[in-house]
Amino acid sequence: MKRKLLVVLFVLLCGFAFAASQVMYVAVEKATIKSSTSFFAKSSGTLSYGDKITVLSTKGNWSQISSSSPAITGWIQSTALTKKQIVTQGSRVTANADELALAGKGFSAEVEAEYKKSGDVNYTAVDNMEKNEIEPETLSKFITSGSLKGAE
Amino acid sequence: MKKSKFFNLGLAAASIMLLASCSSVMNIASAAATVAGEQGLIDADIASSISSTASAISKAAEVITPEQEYYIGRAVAGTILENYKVYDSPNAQLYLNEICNTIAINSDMPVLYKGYYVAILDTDEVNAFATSGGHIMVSRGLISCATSEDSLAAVIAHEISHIQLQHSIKAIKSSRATDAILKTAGTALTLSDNAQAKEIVSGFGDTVNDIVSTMVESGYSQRQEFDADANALKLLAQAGYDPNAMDSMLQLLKSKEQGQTSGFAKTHPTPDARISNLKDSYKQYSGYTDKALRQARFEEVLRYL
Repeated sequence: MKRKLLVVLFVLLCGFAFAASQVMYVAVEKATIKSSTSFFAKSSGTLSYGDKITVLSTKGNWSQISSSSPAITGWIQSTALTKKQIVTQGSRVTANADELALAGKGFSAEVEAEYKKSGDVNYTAVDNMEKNEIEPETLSKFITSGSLKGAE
Repeated sequence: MKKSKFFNLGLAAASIMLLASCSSVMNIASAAATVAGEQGLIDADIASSISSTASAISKAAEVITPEQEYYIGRAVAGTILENYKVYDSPNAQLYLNEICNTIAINSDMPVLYKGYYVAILDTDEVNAFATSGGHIMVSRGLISCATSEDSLAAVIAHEISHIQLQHSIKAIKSSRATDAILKTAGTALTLSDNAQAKEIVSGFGDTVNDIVSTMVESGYSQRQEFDADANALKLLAQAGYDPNAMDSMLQLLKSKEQGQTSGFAKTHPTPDARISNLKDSYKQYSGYTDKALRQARFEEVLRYL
C-alpha cells in the first residue's frame, strides 16, 4: 500500500515536472507572433525579451504558444524561445543566485553606456547598421523573383 | 528500513526531476548532489563541493544569454567600424541585407536577439567580420571577387555560420572576461559607482578585446573555418542558392589573395586548404539551376560598387 502511494507520488511529481518544462521565455528583443508557421504570415501581436509564455504544440522549427500578459496566441520560431528564466531590467532578484544563474540581465545597455566612455567604439555606425530592417514584403519579392526558398 | 530507503531515493529522484525542469540553471550533477545532500544520502559538505564543482565547469559560451551576445556584438562591431569606414551605398547595402535575411530565415536559427545586418567596409582589403549580435561586415575588396549572387551568398553564409556556431564567443579567453559573463548572466545588476561595476565594465572590455584580436589578428582555428564553410553549404542549399558557388568563390579568392598579407590571407586557412576540405561535400547537394535568374540583379548592383 505504502509502495503504491510512493509510485503515485513519483508519477505525480514527474507529471508536474513535465508540465513545468512547457513554460518558456522570449529570448529575442522583440518577437512577432505569427498567425501560422511562416515568416511571412500575418502578425498576431508582439512579445518582448523575457516575456513568459506557454508552449502548446510544435511543428518543425515553430512553436505554438500562448501568453497571458499580453494575451496572445500564435506561432513563433522555436529558437526565439528559451527555457532559461530571464530577468529583465527593473525586476528584482528574489530567488537564490543558483536558480537565476542563466537569467538575462548581463552586458546590457547600462554596461554599454559605461563602456562607451572609455573606448574607441563607433556606436553611431552600429546604430546606422541596425536601421537596415527589411520589410517582409520587400524580402518576399526578392525571394520570389530570385526563385529562392522561404516565401511560401 | 528497506522501504524507508526506497522512499528516500524515490523522493530524491522525483525532486531532481523537478529541480532540473523548474530551474533550468542547475545541471543534473549539481541538482543531484544538492538533493542527495538534503536527503542525507551523502554528507552535506561533500554535496556542496560536488555542486559547486559541477557549476564551475559551465563555460561562458554555455551560459551566455542572447542579450549578452547582442551587447558584446555591438561593441565588437563598433570597434571594427572605428577602424574601417562604411561604404555608403543604399542599393548595394539593401541587396546584401536581402541575401543575408533570405539565408537566415531558411536556417535553423532564423532569429537572433535583434536581427542580422550587413554593412560594406570601404576597403580593397579582402576581409569580412561577423559579431555575436548579428552584425556582418564585408569589404568592397571581398565583394569584388564575386561573380554571381550565389557566390556573394556563399560569403555571407560563411559569416552567418560563424554567428550561429558561436565562434566569437568561443574566442573569449581571459578570466576577467569569463568571470564578468558568468557574474552578469545570473544577477540583476545595478550599476552604481562601485568596485563591482568597474570590474564588470573591465570584464566587458576584455571580452571585446579577446574577440576583436582573434578576428583581426590571429583568426579563428582552422577547424572553426572549415566548420563555417561546411555549414555555409547547408545554409545555401536551404535558401535555394547553389552550394557549388562556394567553390567558385574560393577559386576567385585564391587568385585575388596572391601576394596579400592582410585580411583573409592573415586570418584564414588558404583558399587551397578550404577548397580541398570541401571537395567531397558538394555531392550531397544537387539540382540548383536557377542562377541565371539572379544574374541581372547582381550585375545591376555591381554598378554601385
